[in-house]
Amino acid sequence: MLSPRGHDYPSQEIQVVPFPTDLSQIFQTPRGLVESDWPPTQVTYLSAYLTQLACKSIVVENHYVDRDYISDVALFYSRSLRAYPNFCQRLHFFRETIDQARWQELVAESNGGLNKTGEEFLQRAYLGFSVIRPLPGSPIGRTVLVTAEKMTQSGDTREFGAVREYLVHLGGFELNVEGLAFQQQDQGVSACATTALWTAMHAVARKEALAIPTPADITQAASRYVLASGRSLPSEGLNIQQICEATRAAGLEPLVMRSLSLEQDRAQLLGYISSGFAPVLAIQTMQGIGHAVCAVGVKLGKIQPQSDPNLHFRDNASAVSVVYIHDDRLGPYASADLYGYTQAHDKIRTALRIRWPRTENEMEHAILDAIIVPVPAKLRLTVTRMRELGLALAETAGQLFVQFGRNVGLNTRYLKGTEYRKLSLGFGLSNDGLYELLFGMALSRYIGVIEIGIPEGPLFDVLLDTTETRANPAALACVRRRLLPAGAERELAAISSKLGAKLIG
Amino acid sequence: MTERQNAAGEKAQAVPNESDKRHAQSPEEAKIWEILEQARQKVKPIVKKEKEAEILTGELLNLRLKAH
Repeated sequence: MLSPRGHDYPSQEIQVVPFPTDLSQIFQTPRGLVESDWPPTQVTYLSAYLTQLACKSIVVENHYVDRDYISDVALFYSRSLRAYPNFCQRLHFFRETIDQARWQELVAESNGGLNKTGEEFLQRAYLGFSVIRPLPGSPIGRTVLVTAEKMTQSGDTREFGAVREYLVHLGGFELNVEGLAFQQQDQGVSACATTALWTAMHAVARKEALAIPTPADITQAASRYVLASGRSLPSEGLNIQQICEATRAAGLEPLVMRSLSLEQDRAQLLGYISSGFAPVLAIQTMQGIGHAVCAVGVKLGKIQPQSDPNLHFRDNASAVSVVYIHDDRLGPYASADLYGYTQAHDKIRTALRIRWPRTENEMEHAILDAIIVPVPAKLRLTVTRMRELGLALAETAGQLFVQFGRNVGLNTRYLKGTEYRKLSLGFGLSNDGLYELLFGMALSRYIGVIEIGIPEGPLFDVLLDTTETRANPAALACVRRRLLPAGAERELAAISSKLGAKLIG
Repeated sequence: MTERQNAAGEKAQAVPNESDKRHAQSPEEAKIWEILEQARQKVKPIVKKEKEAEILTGELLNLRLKAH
């Protein structure tokens, strides 16, 4: 008699376990020879990161169907000799002590549907989740964890502009976590570039209500027309052209910029990350191996004084000291200090010192080669083009408002027109000015915002139509902000008339 | 049309754009327009350098990213 295989429905089982001192304790060492070290660096990293977040308990969902993994199975693992399951496990991390009895109590308290205290308790303590794939050597699947707190001990600020909210269902409980998805490359369907682009897509596709491609979708789209090596699967990495191809296949457009100088790279990174985009960084290890990571945040220190004595403004991007990256060899939100590295022939390149979270433990140093940003198709005006006008405006403002002693700063970013309008309710505009901004003018879906300000806050904004290709003829409006000195409206009016933009005061 | 020498030592022409053809409404406005135009010329070397980052090469596009 044949025994039936796969006829039964799977059962779900929830386990609640204390967070161990070493997360790898809850993983079984794979049988046989594992090519890489065990435990994988990513597990050790997650353990360190969660310890810093003061994680106390893990709730384990033992049967979890993950969209990304099941797509990998369909494309690749289903054809393997080993019968890989098509489901994963999912770990939920909490900063409160919860045991099995307390978990059952929380469910009982919620019985009846009126009492939300259980859900509220879990939400307050929730640190995020990690999907555990049944792949012996690369278990870490889609992982979304909260970021570190905004202020650092030294008074710098962390800005995780590319994170977004994820809705998580754990039984009947609905929880939220703000972060950006990370996963370890499996080297079957995805390599580093695939996972970096997948993270970048998580940030932008949601803004445009596009389906987020799975790593399998990305690898297939990337290798449809161009192959960097002989075969697409197992994945042997992508080149930048393939990253562009996969980006276009997802309904987005890739912006590619060469890394030329530290100042410039800082400006690009700040511009895109603070606008909610996650740039893919093409880097090269000191051994000359190409690698891709995804930038999700920056650390801002002090804005540096202007180095050119002929100029009268500061570039706010000079405050960027660290970029936070998802490095699939390491983990989410790894710190990468930006610095100038002198190569042969005195050529100075932007370099990254990649570190473990909030420690001085170095992973490695790498040189930045290029920045690739997947953006919505109609966003045509680049940060470079915005800065072309922004630099001239900042210099003008620096000369006009001498009372600020060369502290006038330039900041550029994108915002949705609807978001800017909402924010403008707090600008202290006149009723007529506010009405004009809200109902008197058309804005592009994304607007470019050139913000001219001082350390205490903005003086004025220039709004640009991002469907245009050049900054200058794209000016829509000059908007007065609270700190514009009294009597300076005439200067702002003259600037707006020169730009052919509306004056909103 | 005026011709200026920018900080990089290159000849930069202040080509009047559409708005330059219009006349300022007052001497004060004209002065601010002039400051803006001078500022545009001053930052041109920075802008030029930043735009160079958008020039891509085949070598860069074929850069293979495969570390694990």
